[in-house]
Amino acid sequence: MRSLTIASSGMLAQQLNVDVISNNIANMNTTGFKRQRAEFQDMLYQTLERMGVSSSDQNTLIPTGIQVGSGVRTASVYRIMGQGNVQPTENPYDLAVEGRGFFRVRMPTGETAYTRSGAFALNAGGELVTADGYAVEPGITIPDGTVLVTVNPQGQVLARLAGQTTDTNVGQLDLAAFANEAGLDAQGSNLFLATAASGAAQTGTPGSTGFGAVRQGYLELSNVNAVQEITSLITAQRAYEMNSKVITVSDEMLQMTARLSRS
Amino acid sequence: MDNSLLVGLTAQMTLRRNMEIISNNIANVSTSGFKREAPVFEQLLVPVEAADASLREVSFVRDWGVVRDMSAGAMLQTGSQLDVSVQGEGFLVVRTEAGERFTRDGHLKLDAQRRIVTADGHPVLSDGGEVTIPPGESDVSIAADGTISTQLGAIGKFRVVTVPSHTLRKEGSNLYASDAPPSPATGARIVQGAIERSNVEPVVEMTKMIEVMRAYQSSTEILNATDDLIRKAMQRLGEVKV
Repeated sequence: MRSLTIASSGMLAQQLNVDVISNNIANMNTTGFKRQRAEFQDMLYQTLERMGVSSSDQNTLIPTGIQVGSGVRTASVYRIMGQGNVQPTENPYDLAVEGRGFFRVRMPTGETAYTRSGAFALNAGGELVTADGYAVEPGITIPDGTVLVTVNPQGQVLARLAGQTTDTNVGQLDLAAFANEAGLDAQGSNLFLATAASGAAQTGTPGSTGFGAVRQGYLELSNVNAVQEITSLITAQRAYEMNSKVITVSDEMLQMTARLSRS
Repeated sequence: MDNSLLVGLTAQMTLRRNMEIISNNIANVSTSGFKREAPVFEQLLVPVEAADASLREVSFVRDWGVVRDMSAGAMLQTGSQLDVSVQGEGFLVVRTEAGERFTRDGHLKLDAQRRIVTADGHPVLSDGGEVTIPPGESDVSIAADGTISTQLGAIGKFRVVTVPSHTLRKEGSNLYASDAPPSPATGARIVQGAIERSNVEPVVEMTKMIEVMRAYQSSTEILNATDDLIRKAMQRLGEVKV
């Protein structure tokens, strides 16, 4: 019976759905994490009776036809790049982007990665780096003897040196934006790489048109909404259950047929 | 006598097909833009020879078509820039290798040439053909009438069309095909950042599934009873002594 394989494709799809939801819940407290969503498509249809064929010599047409589908498949699992909540931390090197845009990070391989997680720190050389020690692009070095660091919403990094009354501009942070953020390739560690689907990065000054502003002393939390995830989890679980019910019923129908020839 | 076996058989065949359609609906409960389907049955009268006029017709059952419930599914806010959903009657137009296809699944993305494509990579068409986001532009916004614009201005307008529903056939991958020419949709609105969910009602499908199972069971009973009858007749006839 076709309904057995149809229902098993449904169970597989819901299993993946639960995988995606559980990853979202696991990363509920990951800085700059963006939740994912599984997207499904129906599979091929078998046309048993074509619509629009004539049903008599009087040119009457069959209006609907018979098409039987063959189940469901996963089309994509994509990321939803909505803004997460912003939490104050009072750490001068914690930066959050309010609005669109990613910080650029230079990977050890020389590639440029993109991140929404602005939990930065200084390395031994006074360079601004991520939690993994990767340098933030464009490179910013805080000089020795700095007593106060200010990052303004436009991304200018200002350092107040000891004994001075005015700030010195030590660098300008920029942000990268993508035409299709959902197409970015997640690398783990809160990092993303640009792909053909995301389009090439467009860099710009924070706060200019199309780019968000930088907030110093804040971190962007994940955009996972616990209530929404739990609701989707329940829906996915129920859908899984229903598909397994379809298998049970199909099995019972087959059993009834098998019992026909009992004598 | 043979007729009741055949009637039971036609009932089982159509019930199986009904079950396949129900299970496809249930499997696609999370498929964006999916429209549920239901089979239509009809009585098929077959004349037979009988002395009594009222017994001269036997009614078989036959599946005659599949109807598609084109009502809208619930709107799911995703906040993704390239997720669009069509509110009201209308389809987005997609260009595939086999020609123009129609879809209600608005989960779109950019391909390597920066064209707006579906999850499978088929370009979504605007009034002027494929839509390409020029390099250097990233802030895509899509208006209610389907106009696509970036920070530098409008690029195009999604074609939203209606197709006579009886000509639509499903092709899988959330695509519909039709032999009839599409006409521009009048009452449709495009919503950016939302996806239309499947319109399958799980409760309805489960109830229908139980109904199908019970009907299948009772037609099995008919077959069993007929079988018993034939067997008993043969036994009794064998006992007759001349």
